[in-house]
Amino acid sequence: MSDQKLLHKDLSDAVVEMDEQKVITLSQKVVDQHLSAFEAIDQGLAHGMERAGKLFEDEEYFVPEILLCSDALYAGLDILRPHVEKKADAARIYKVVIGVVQGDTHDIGKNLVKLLTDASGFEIHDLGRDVAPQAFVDKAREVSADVIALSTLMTTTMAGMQSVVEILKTDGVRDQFKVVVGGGPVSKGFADRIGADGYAANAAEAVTLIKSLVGEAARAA
Amino acid sequence: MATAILQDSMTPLERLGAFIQGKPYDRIPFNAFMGDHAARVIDAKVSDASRSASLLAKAQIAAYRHYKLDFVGVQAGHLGVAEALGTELEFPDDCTAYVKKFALDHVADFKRLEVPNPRKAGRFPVFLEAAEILQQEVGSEVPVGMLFGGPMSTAYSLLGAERLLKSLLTDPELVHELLDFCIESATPFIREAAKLNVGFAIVDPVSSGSVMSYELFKKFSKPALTKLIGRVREVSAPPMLHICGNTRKIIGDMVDTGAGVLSLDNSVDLADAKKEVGSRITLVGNIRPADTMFLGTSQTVEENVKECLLKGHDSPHGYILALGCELPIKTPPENVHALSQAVRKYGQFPYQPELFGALAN
Repeated sequence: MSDQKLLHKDLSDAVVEMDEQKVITLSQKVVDQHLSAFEAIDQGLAHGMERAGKLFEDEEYFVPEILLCSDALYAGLDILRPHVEKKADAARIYKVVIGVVQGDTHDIGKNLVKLLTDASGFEIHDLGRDVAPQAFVDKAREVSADVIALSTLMTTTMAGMQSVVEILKTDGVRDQFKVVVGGGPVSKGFADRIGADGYAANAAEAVTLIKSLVGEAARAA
Repeated sequence: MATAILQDSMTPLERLGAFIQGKPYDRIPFNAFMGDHAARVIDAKVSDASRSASLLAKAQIAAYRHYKLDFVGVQAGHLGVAEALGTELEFPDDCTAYVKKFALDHVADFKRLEVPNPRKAGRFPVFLEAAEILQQEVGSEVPVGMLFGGPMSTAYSLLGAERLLKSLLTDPELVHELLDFCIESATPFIREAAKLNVGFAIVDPVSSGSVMSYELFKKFSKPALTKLIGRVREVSAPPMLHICGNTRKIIGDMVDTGAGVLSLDNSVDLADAKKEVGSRITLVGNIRPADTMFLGTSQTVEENVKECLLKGHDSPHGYILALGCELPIKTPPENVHALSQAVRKYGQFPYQPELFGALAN
């Protein structure tokens, strides 16, 4: 394995192992050796976070572990992001507006989706928790978002997701955004019923979903 | 279709007493986990009812009479102890209270706090007074419960989810000390409430398998719960223990803590739980609060009651029908009535299992 590939593998491992210090050391190496910061993020840090996400799906990692993996990830991102080369034909940055719907304050799930999509190169606009349906629409329009991502852990607040879709329709802008939903009580059936574009069962699936939806939109454009 | 509600021949208090003593009773007791929804029965705001002892008691009594329930109670929930220690809560008009500002910035900061006075701190005085009113008004006919948070959930309410959960891995010694402090902080309140003859229930959602691994539960939550339950047992009957969500892996350990009764959420199959721990402890549960009570129809409620009875009725150490978690505030009243009626229709004792779907032998 080349030195660069070895560094990527070590970075990935360090994220999975929740080793913030190691991530920092390795990220600094990437910078010192003038290696591609973008590739180190994509094939090192983000790769590690995806593995952590899979461990979470498999119920080997739980919330505490994922939180520490994300700390390690962000420690690396802090060092590497300033060095990401601006390509002349830089790929378009896709934007996601994300939040927990009104009446609900459980935000760990939303934060996991946020950090995984952030690590994948999306621009995230996080509205936080207890967010009114109108606020999602307003923000999405303000920043020309590509995706609106809605989260809730409580059945009693799911109706807010439907409200977002309705407001988009009423305003005549439904086609401008992809709406994705997730959270404990949410299901594919529910997502289909309210006219969302997609449903994800966990944070790792959410990133895959978002990527495929924006890819779809790009191809359709 | 009108269904005559079969009349009870015992008060809820008599029924529960008979159940506990293994004597005959008229029908299965049931717990609707009536919390903030009770405010709606008296057309009060949830925010007001949560902060006034008289309104809280009035709401509970109204709900008890209106829906013909078997329990009344006071919910200090998982936030009550933390609130008494300085966590600030937001009280929306029509929604359960939530944390506005956590009391602690770092896990070690608890060392500057003092054990709260149950007569003065947070809403402890409100909870105690409400329980007292309930005992005076209806205590001769219905059991009065007091529900409060377990150590891990109190620690979460002091520190915030991310800081607490990370600390489990990064600062285990400090977490043990914090959990101990949470136990000490709950103890004077437990002792005061015990004087009012309440039945205790401990809720510990943060210890759920939906949040943390079995290893972390065993290392932190289990010893802390065992110690806290020990404090309750010094002054009262062994409490009910409720951990929301997926508790399949920890159910045996939950019994080990010394709890008197296990309340199970609907992520646990009641039949499986019965197989695993039914010979050791009374089981309580597990009607689906969201899918059945909030989103369902009277028909759904009746089916769910039958399903639970089918799975739980023959649990060797006893079974009480209940929701899997608190009754959602916006539950349609007809569904609560449906629950109450279905319990009486299908839960007459001695049971007729063919009534609720058991195959005739």
